[in-house]
Amino acid sequence: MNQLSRRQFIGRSAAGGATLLGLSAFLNACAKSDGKTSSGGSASPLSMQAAWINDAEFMGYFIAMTNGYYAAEGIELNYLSGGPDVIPESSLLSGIAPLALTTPDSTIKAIVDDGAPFVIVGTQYQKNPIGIVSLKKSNINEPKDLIGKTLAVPPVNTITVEAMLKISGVDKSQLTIVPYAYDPTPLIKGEIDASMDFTTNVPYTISQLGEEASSFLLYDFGVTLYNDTVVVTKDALSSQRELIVKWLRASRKGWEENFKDTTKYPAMFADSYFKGTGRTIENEVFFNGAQQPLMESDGGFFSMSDEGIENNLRALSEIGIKGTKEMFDTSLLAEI
Amino acid sequence: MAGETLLKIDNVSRSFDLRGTVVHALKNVSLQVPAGSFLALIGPSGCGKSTLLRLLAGLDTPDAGALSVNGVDPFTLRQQGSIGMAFQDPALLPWRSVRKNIALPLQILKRNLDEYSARIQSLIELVGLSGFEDAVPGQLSGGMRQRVSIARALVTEPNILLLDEPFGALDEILRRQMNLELQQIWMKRRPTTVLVTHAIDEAIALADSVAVMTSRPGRVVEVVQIDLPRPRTTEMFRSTEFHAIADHLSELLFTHATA
Amino acid sequence: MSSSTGSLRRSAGSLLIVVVVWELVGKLELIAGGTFPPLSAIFGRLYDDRADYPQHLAATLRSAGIGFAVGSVIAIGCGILFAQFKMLERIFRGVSITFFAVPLIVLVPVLLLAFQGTMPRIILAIIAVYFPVMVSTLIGVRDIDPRLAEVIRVSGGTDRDVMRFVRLRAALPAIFAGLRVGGPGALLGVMLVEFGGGVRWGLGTYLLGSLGRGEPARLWGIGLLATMIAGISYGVFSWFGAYFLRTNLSTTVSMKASSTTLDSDDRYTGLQRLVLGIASFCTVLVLWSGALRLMNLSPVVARGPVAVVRYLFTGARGADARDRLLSALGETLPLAGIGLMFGLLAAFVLALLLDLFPIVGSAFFPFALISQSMPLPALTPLIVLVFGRSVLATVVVTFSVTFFPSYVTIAQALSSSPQGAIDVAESYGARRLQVLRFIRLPQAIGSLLTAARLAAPRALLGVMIAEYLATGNGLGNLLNESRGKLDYGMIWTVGAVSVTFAVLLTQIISKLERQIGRKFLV
Repeated sequence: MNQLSRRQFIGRSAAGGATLLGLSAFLNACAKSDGKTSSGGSASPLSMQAAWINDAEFMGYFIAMTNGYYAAEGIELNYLSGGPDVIPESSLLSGIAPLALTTPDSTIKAIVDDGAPFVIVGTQYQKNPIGIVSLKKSNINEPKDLIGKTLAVPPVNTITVEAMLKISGVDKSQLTIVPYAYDPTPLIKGEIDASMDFTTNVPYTISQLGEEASSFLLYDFGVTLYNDTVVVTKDALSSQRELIVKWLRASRKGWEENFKDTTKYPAMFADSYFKGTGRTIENEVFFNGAQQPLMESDGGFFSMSDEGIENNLRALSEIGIKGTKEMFDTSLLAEI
Repeated sequence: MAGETLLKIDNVSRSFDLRGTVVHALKNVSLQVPAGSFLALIGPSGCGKSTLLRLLAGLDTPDAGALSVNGVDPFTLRQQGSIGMAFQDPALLPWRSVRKNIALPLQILKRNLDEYSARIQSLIELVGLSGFEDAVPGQLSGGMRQRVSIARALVTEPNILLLDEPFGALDEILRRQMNLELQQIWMKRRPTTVLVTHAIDEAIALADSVAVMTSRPGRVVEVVQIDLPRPRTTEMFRSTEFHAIADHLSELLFTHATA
Repeated sequence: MSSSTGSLRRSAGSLLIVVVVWELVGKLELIAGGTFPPLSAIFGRLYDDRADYPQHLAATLRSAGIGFAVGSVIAIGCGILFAQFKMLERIFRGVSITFFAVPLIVLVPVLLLAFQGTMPRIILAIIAVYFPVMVSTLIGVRDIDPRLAEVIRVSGGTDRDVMRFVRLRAALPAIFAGLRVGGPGALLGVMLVEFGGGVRWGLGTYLLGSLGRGEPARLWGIGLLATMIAGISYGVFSWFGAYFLRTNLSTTVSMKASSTTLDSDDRYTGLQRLVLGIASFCTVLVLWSGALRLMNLSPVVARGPVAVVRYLFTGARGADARDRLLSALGETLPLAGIGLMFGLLAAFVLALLLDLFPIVGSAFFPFALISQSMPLPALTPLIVLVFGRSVLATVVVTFSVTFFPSYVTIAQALSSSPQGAIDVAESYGARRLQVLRFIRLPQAIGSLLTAARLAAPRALLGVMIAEYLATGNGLGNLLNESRGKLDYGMIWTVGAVSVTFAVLLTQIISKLERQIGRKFLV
């Protein structure tokens, strides 16, 4: 640990007496008061950066926290929600969390381009749930059907959409790509023809609004990527390896528990993790059921087979991102 | 000269740079009056009389020459709280009551206000504002506000009282009335007083000596002694002596204005 | 001010018209195929969701409150310091203008990199509060009636006594005018971070979670609630401001109407000005790199000025980065110019119209207020459905963020025509139209540049928001895409470049403004 922790840093500066820094310490105190306070004991604290706000995508972790799986492993988990402006890899780099759920494309690109000190130690989704969602009447069933259409893409998924088009032999100029602002209204109203989103989620909303949705996974059209890859920093891998293994074990247990009955836990979290998210419990139940086939694998949750890793590297190399097997470390999963 | 108490203006010059043209507000002005006397400065607009007053108040510094009262320079006098000043505009703090406006100079000099409450009250009575102690300036008439500012100038019992056309904005009747009140107040303690005015009758009614000034450049052309007995009364405004002096002063003013 | 009950009645009347028209337009699904909900549906939805709101509201108010309080203290402190030490103001002017001009959406991802918990929210609120409060404090403290200062000095007072007895108290109306603008700013800043920052509670979080439901009534409910809070804080500070203004006025002491200009450079020579300009620019760079160093961030994530230059010019992908940046600028800047022009023109015409027909003004005002504090993500689907994703949509968004502040500035100038001049004109039998032509119009033209200066950074922000939410072009999209690609160099470059252009634009207009002002004010 050659870097000062932020807490130490603020302590020193305030002692130094600089007014500005005194102020930042004050602000930090204000900011901290709504965070969790340490419960003491011998549990080791571990922060994880999730990829999005609280929804069924993260059921397993909520269950593991609620049922004490992390506590049983001696982990005091500090779960950090994500959002449109949160880049999980940035949380790793800026020391906010040593463990994050990421998209493999951006992570591997960061390793290749910037030498980011990341290692992928597991994956939540064996198949990326991202797909193309459209109204059934538009009859969009494969990437080629998008030619001449308007597709809304979240700007953070640019790499993924480029991969899909490249692999399907569609040129970017053959369709119109516009930003997707997470609201299905333009799709329902026909202002756009399709949007790129989690197929586990939006079709439900569309059906609630009285339209029939159709969707396909990018995974089924050659973009054979994982999603929510579990990424840790090299630093953490060497200094906290045990803890990460424990995290994987507890999290796997959480997911196993979840898929015993996909309708059970969403309702249980109505007054905790899902309270006031603006989404409905029915939506989470749908999501939870839809994601089950995308997560299960012979090796158990989080596992990464040699074939799966190969598939990821091949899909990425299509768009010029040259990853290597060394960026994946399956040895932690083997220790569970 | 040592030991002699007087207000001394010694060869003072002051010029301003207005958009590239140099204006000589005062050029080689010298004046001396004994301590405890009342001097009026009279002259047309732009003759530098207000500039001279600001120099005496230590609000400005001369380019050349020196000013002093009893050998002490204006800056020191100011810091000692020896100066009281009233302006053409009452310049009251609009959010303070009459009492608190009058107390302001004491607060600045960090005096204990409790010890002065009797003095403040008597000043309020002196300027005829009993019953208005807690009124704010917005609730007072123009004449009343001006009286507050005079009371404020007197509250520290200053050795030097500087008055910059304090009644300039008042109507003729009110002005005469205020002149007589001011004379009453002045006669009680006789601070060395300098009054800037452009009203000849006001100067004669109040002053022991009147310095007549002209403009471009601002300088003193003559100092006229006013030997009318005190207290001066309204009847005196109609006397022949009064008119003789007034004629002399206006002759001085107009000769030099058209020269 | 004289007919305040009359204007109150007019406002109430026009509010009623707005309510009725809104309800009808929504019910009859006249706009965007029913995407614009009727008021009854919005309030119904608010009622249904009532259990969700308290925690979100509490979280938002807490962060906004802390940020607002801390920001106000800093801004008032800086304003007082800058009024006392002019050189200090001049050196920090670059920093001040940067805080004013920086598009807040650029700051969100950067703040999230550097801070955790509520810190990013509080800091963004502080930044939103800083400029308006600092400038109005500076002006309020500096521009006092000089006679009051002389009274203090002649009584033996020092500069500190002038500050204590006169300046601080005299500045209160101006300070409250600044706080009035800062309050809604802090609220929007906090909501922006909540929306993007993976925050568990807050109105912005609720907005994000609700976006995916395709239910406009919920989105508008959140927006209206935010508008109401902004309106209340605006009203409260207006009331205090008016109270102190009243107590600061006596009939002879004239208080200057608050201006928005920083000190002019007239008393410096050309060379001094150049040196000061460079010093103020360097202060920005020093603070930028100093802050990064203090926060001890990974150099991959946090790029200082040198790193940005290196990224653009000597880096391996420098040429590619320059190309992308230039083509994005080529898309963004012209649109910002067009949007600004439209916003100003509309504001100008409307301000003049309202001067002739005041009734239209009060009818229009509620709409203007709503358009100002509705979070843009909630409005985007509507804008996209009505105007598409073309240039038009961008111009509309830009127009909507520039119009209101410009209107306020111009209308203020129109209404502050000296009554004396109007009386003279009317005594010669001038009609309303002639008064407008000979007296008010020249004044309004003068204020047009002031309005342009204040609106220019907002125009840039508006275009970037539209690009990022709707059209997928230009700087806004480049910023967003760079985040997906973890192209940190580009994120910082877009931030630096957008601030640079906003500052440049502001400075050019302010120079023009000074030159023209010199011509008119002899």
